[in-house]
Amino acid sequence: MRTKKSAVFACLTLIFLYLLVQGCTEPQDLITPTHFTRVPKVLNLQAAIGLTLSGKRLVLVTWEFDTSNANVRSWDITRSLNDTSAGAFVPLEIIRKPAVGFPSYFDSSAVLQGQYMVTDSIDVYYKVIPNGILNNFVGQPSDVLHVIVRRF
Amino acid sequence: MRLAFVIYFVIVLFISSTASARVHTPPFAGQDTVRADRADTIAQSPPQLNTWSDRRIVSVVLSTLIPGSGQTYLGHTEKGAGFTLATLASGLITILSENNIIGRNERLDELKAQYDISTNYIGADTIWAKMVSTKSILDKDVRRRDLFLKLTVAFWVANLVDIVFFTDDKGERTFGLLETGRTTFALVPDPKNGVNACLSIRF
Repeated sequence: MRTKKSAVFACLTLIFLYLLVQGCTEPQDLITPTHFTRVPKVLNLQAAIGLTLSGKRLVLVTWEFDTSNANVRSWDITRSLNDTSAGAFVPLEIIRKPAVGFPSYFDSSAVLQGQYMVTDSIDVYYKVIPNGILNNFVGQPSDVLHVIVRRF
Repeated sequence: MRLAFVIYFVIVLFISSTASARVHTPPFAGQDTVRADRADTIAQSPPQLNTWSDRRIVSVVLSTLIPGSGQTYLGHTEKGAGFTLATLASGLITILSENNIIGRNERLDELKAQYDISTNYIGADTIWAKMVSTKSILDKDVRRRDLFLKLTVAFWVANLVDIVFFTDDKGERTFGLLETGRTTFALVPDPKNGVNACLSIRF
């Protein structure tokens, strides 16, 4: 009888320890983030101010991207005048991916022309947003490019 | 963590085998139960550290199932209550942490699904930040659960070690009798008469 009780005791101990170890839930691991590289980043966003042949003020915006990542269809050019808040950026144009080289955008809007300026200069901000091919994924927006256009 | 469990397991098996070996020691007659001769006294039996009676075996089984109950059964109520409360409190925190882990895992699953179908960087980055935050909390839950799980097992093992090696049998206490004095006085509320004063003297 006592041996039987001891066996029950040992079995209960075994069951308890088994449940204790097996009952624990394993924590899930984080997945590898893919949104950073789904669409190539905008690199070396630059601008140059010049004049067209007809004498209009021109801002040339250029940028580069990682050409080893082919998942990019186009870029959205957005611009903001004297305001850096995210809501102030207005889409200007969609630039398709060029067959060779890097894309660029020529901005000769009326607001950049001296005769329409009410102040001596305006602060123009550009932001470029890449668009992917797969799932039309909208990629990481570029840093804001600040250009000061002076009246001449 | 698994190694710790193996160590605990070996300790408990050792205790179990020790208990089994000691069970075969024949107790002397009349040791199992000591009955109270008088109603207002508690019968005391001599310490029984090295012999095993049915009461000791029952106490070990009780302590295995509910830590501290064996000690209480043998008459060590404060120690038994301490073991019971400590083990149950640690176990409760372990269960709550485990429940949190299950919930955070489900939350991570949900966020992964949202992350996979996100169509823009800003949305995906927001979901990713939530995933990182959830994972951070999940890791804290896991650490808390492991700590209190070890504590629970430690209390449980300590309870078994105590009941096997260090707890003597204080003897059987007759049910329903309190250690009251010979003379008692009490004010008993009565719905008809207000309060009754009761004086009891036991001869």
